[in-house]
Amino acid sequence: MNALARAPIFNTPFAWLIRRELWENRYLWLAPLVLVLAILAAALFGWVFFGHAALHLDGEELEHMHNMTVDQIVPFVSVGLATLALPFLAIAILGTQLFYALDTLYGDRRDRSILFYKSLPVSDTATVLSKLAVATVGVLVITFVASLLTQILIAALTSIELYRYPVLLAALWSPRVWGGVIVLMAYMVVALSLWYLPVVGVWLLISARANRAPFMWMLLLVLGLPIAEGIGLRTHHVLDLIGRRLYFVAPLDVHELGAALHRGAQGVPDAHAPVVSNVIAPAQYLANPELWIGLVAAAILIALTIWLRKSAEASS
Amino acid sequence: MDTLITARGLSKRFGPTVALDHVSFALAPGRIVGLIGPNGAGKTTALKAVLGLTGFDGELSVLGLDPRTQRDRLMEQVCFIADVAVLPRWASVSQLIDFVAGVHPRFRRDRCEEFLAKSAVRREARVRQLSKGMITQLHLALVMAIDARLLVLDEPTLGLDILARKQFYDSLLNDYMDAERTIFVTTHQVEEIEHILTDLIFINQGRIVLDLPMEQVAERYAQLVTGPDQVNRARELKPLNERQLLGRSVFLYEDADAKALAPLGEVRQPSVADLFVAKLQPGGAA
Repeated sequence: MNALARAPIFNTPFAWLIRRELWENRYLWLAPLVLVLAILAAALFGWVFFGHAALHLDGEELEHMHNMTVDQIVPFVSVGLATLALPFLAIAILGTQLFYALDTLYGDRRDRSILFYKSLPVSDTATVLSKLAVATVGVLVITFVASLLTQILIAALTSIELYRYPVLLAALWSPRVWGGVIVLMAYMVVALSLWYLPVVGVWLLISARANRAPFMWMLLLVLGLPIAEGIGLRTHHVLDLIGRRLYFVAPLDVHELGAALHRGAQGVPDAHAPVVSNVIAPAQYLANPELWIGLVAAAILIALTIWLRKSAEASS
Repeated sequence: MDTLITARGLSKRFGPTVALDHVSFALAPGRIVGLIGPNGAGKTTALKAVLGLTGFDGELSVLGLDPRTQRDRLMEQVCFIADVAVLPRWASVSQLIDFVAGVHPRFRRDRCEEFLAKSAVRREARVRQLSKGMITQLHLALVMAIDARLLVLDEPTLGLDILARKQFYDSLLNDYMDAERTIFVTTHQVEEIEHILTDLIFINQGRIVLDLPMEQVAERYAQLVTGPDQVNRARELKPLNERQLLGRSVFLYEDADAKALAPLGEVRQPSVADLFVAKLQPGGAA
């Protein structure tokens, strides 16, 4: 173990519970790494065969932007790069959480290792919370790092195309661009994680309860319930509820973002550049009652999951 | 007398099936107690109750704690080996050692390393790559490195060959057991552990049918092996059980007068297996 791993904060029983989850589920950090490499490979493929390294930049747009100053371009690049990552972040977080949270508690019962873990002085509450922490904070950090890495690689490849536009090149690699990207992406990752917390709660509850095939239970819930409601009641409340929760809610001022990116694309050098603080809309995000309803639901679901884990025995 | 475990009126049902039916027993420190019973007798349910792994009705105190609500605290002083299959198969040996050292305040890494050094278990190997015997050695090494007061074993040598089974119990006695520690064990292979037991509990259909220290087993039970000429006199002494063996009759007596038995044939102490059969099948194959 290195010096960092020996630090007191990494030597608490809870930290060891987290570590064992990362040991067991290596795909949590391997999958995003593979995704980054795949994106890089696709970009290289595009460069070699189609002459575009990464982003296809329109010549007219480039000329427009080249007439702007670095200071004017920086915010556009910053917001553009970060928002470009939003779907990637949402899909990566939802996908990883789905596979991890659905299997983790069920897996302990399936291979009977639950008896080993329960033979140690670790409470069921700590065990469930460690799995929740991995599904939220762990996935969040890993996704953030993977996204940032992808952004840097794409920017590096894009730089090859920008060699004729020194102003744009300087803007792309400005520390202010990357400061903005980091702030915006960190905000989006945290906001998305809180939004998805009840979803993780449902997956964990299924994982704690299912005697077999938790994935089938998930499908039954996500597909079967809306279909049954549609056929039986001719309504679609469940589908709406699932749709609103799973479709990534952009915690951003969408109107301002759209207008700002449009101005950027038109090369309008006015005073309304999309600074990161304008696009981030925490008040709008926090004022959404569905966020708070979701968090309360998540707390109830986690409490139920802990209760089920306490009474759980090996499945065979 | 100090007790480690006190159970009073322990009951547990699985639907219509009664797993434990008002079971009461007590375990003192420094003892090796065998809980013996046929399949479905309630052995594993009793052990799971002691470990806080299942709910139950009745009173149960383990090291002064309630296993239902204080399992995590209890496990600081209690170790448990269910059977060889419960160690996580994805983990490497060194990861398991690191993990247990990280979460268990009474784990001594040096003791674990010392024990493993005597075995063929490699640190970098994953559990899934080890043989059943090696997995048992690894689990035992992890458990023996914990300074615990109670060790609970549920069929710990299931599926092991005879060498590995012997090695397991030898290690347990030589490297683990002392006057302060207690072992509570269930197994089907009674003959393997009877020489190490200090106390015997028989359980059948959720009820305790025998609960005695081994020295009292010798005092209270006797086995008579006799020829056909003494059979009628032997039966008059009201044996618990009778069976035939190679043309001779074998009787098992409870609280019998040794002087009355001696003239009838060879009198000896019954094995735990013989006593088990006699208590669970009174009368036997006459």
